[in-house]
Amino acid sequence: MKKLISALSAALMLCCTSVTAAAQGAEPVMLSGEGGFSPVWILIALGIGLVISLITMLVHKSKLKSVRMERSAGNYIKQGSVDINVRREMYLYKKVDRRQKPKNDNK
Amino acid sequence: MTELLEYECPCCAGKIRFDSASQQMKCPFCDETFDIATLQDYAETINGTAETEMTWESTAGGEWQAGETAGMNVYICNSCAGEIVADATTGASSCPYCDSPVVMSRQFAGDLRPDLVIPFKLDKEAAKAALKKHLEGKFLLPAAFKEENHIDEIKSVYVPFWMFDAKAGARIVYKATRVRRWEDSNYEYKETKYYSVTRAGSLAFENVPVDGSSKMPDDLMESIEPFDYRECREFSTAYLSGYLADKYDVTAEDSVERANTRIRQSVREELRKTVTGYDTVDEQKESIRLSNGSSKYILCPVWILNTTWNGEKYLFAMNGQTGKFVGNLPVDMGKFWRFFFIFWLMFGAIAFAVIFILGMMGII
Repeated sequence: MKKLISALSAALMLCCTSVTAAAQGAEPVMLSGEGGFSPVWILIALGIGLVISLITMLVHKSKLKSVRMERSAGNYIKQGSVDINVRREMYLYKKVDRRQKPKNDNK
Repeated sequence: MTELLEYECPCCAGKIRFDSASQQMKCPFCDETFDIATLQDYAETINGTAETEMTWESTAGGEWQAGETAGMNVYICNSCAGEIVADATTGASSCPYCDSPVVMSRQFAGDLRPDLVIPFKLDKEAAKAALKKHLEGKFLLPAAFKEENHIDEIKSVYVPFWMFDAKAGARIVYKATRVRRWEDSNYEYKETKYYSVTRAGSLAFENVPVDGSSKMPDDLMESIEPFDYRECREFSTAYLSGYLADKYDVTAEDSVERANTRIRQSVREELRKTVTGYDTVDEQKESIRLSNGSSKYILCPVWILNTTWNGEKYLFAMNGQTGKFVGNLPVDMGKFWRFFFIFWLMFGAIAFAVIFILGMMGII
């Protein structure tokens, strides 16, 4: 775990260093607009980080729980006893939905 | 008084018990081992039926109040005449005075006799080692739990189970859809085709276990499944010697509903597996019928460990045949949230770096 944290910290520092170096030689960018930095990126990044972090911690938490009721009796099906003798598929009807595409007004 | 069974060593007359390592009866005093059938014949020849005589020289203390003795049985140890008090379902125990293994034979007599028994294969040291391994590699387990954890009690118990065999016939009707999307210059289209899908068939189940003891938590007993029933033996009280055992107090009729629930779910899963090639599948109607149903009464080996930490009791169980070990552990919530925020910032920073680079390159 300590090694993982060290590796991630090093990656973070490398990213920050690269971004800083790139910014030093680059032209100023607009806060919004085409091809420029957008504050929404920060929110998206925080959202992605939140989801990954939550999944990681919940996986670790789930390892502490090993007592649960069995849902089914799959382990007790007699080998070779499964016999599916009716397989029928009948077409009923269809439904078609359509949505108009948004138009781009080029002026 | 209820009859107690003790098996004596033909060599030294010591109290003999079942040895899980050799799967035979072994004397702890002279280390001789004996075949179970041989020992039973010897016991029948030598011991016969002992007459019980209860003569109290003096009466001491008060009398049991009405209802206090409900659910309790009192036995007299054949070795030391000590009094053994056990609840109504206890089938095997040890004398608290001389530690002789005792089997309460009436608990397994007549209709109460188990059909089969799975003997213990793993001993106490294996149970302790399994607990130690269970605590390893758990990132969110409080460090103090491992350091301060002491086993309060460790006991080997034959737990009564009902095993159900049945053949299930089923017919399930599903509503399924296939979705197709396309677009032209003006519109986006989504076509959904609806189908009625039917599957019918049969499958057989054998030895679906349901815990027959109200003293054992059902989820704990289901968690240590499966047992290997190929190692079942015809029941003999000799297997119980040296271990604790309970007779059932949940009948087969009361247990069948749980077996039905598990069988029904398995039938649904097996039939559902055969419905493929659709985007959505919903069950509309189901009909499941059981036939050729039967049940067996079997004793299965379980190691039970109790521990207390921070005022809370923790119960662990190990399958005495396969070694599968289960038990819920406490969570260090402080550590949980600490690392949650650390990982959030780290993964967030990495995600931002990737988005930034892609953005600068004009990809997003």
